[in-house]
Amino acid sequence: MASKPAHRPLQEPAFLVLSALAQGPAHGYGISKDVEESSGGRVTLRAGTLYGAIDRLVAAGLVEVDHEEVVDSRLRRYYRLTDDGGTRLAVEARRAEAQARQALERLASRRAPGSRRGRAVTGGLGEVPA
Amino acid sequence: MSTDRRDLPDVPEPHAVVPALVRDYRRLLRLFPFAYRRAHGAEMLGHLLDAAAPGRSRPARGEVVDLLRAAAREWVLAPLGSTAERRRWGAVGVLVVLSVVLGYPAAASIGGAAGILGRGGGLHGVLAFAPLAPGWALWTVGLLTLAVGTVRGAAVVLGAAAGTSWVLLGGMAYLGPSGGGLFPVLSGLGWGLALTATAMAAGVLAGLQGLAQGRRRSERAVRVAAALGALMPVVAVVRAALGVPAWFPEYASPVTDLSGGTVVVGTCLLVGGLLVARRARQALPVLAGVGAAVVVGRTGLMGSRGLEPMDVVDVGNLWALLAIALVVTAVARWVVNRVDELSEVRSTVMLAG
Repeated sequence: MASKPAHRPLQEPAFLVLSALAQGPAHGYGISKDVEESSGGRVTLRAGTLYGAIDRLVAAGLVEVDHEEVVDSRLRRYYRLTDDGGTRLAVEARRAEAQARQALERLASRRAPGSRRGRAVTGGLGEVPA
Repeated sequence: MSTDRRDLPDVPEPHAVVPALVRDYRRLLRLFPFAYRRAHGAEMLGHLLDAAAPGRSRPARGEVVDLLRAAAREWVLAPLGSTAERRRWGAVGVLVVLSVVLGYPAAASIGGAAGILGRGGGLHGVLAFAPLAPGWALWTVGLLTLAVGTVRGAAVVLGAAAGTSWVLLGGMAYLGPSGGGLFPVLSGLGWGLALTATAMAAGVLAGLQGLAQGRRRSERAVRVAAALGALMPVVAVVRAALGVPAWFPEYASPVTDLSGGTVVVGTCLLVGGLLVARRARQALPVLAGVGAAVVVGRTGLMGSRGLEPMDVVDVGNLWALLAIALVVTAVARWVVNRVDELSEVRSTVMLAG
């Protein structure tokens, strides 16, 4: 029996916030822009949601405050990944990668020549895009 | 500009904004609890202004909805702490204390219900003499889940326990004027709040545990307290099933059995002890609110004890009791937040020194 994972999978916004911070410290607005771009515009983290998520990530010890600066009278607080945050992000990324690879392998096996199921399904699905 | 700022995707240089927009954003941010604004208000305002399109004079509808939703969430969770870290400790404290303390009333109610059923009293008898027994039974299952299962599962069951208790209390309040009066509702409101606080604390812990494993010591404390809390009602049910008489009366109350002096001294010691401890004090506001509701609902303070007929308790008393619990919680939260600020300043000064 497979061992029970230590954590439930991260929700997508939390994963994307950690992913944004993997490049280095960033402030809230920078994180929200990065999340929007890296999700292809699918996920938009507005201020109210973002700072609630950051607060929870800080409490979980995955993110911490790096430094603050004031630009044009506006406070920018920079956050960075902690070691635990980096480890957790790596675990989540590997899990997502493994799941995606498995899904692609299964799709490929359905298209394999000589496979009864492959023949039956290929006609309906056609090529699976890369 | 900071020299160590990394390349962010198209983060624009700050641009001039319309003063009306700044005013509107400030108004929206004022909807958040003070402690949250103190922690995040300035950076949220900077974020909102950075994100505002040049020339925009009013917040976007999506921003307004998002900020209103976030503010509502913060107010709901504010009794447990002003930040997620403090809420974690508040939730742990609430779960540990309420699990142990509520074991007695749970056992009294469930034991009483089991006794009534054993004597052939039927469901009608249970609802008449131990009306909150279904809620307490679910609460016991929730604690057992917390002790040996997952926090998430426990939060769901404890939420069901709280919901059940409010449905029962609502039903009793609805039938009260034509039934046995509202006194049972008044004395049960404190337990309803206690079950709700337990469910809320478990929900907060479950949410944070999805991100990271809980601190091992606090997690163990919660599991041990849950096991202890569930032990009394489980023993009560087993004794009833075996036909052994309950060792306490069906309507025992740990509050009314104590003298006034014992309650005051005990409360002062508990509050003082909790205030000194940085983590444990986060649980104080919720415990104070629940404690106030339980005590006031069972003493003569609102004319609800020793008065005949019992139906002198009216709906106004119920609302007043809820208001008292809310005010006590808010005042205690204010005090704890100020103590937190003082201790932050103190640690900053010590670090600087």
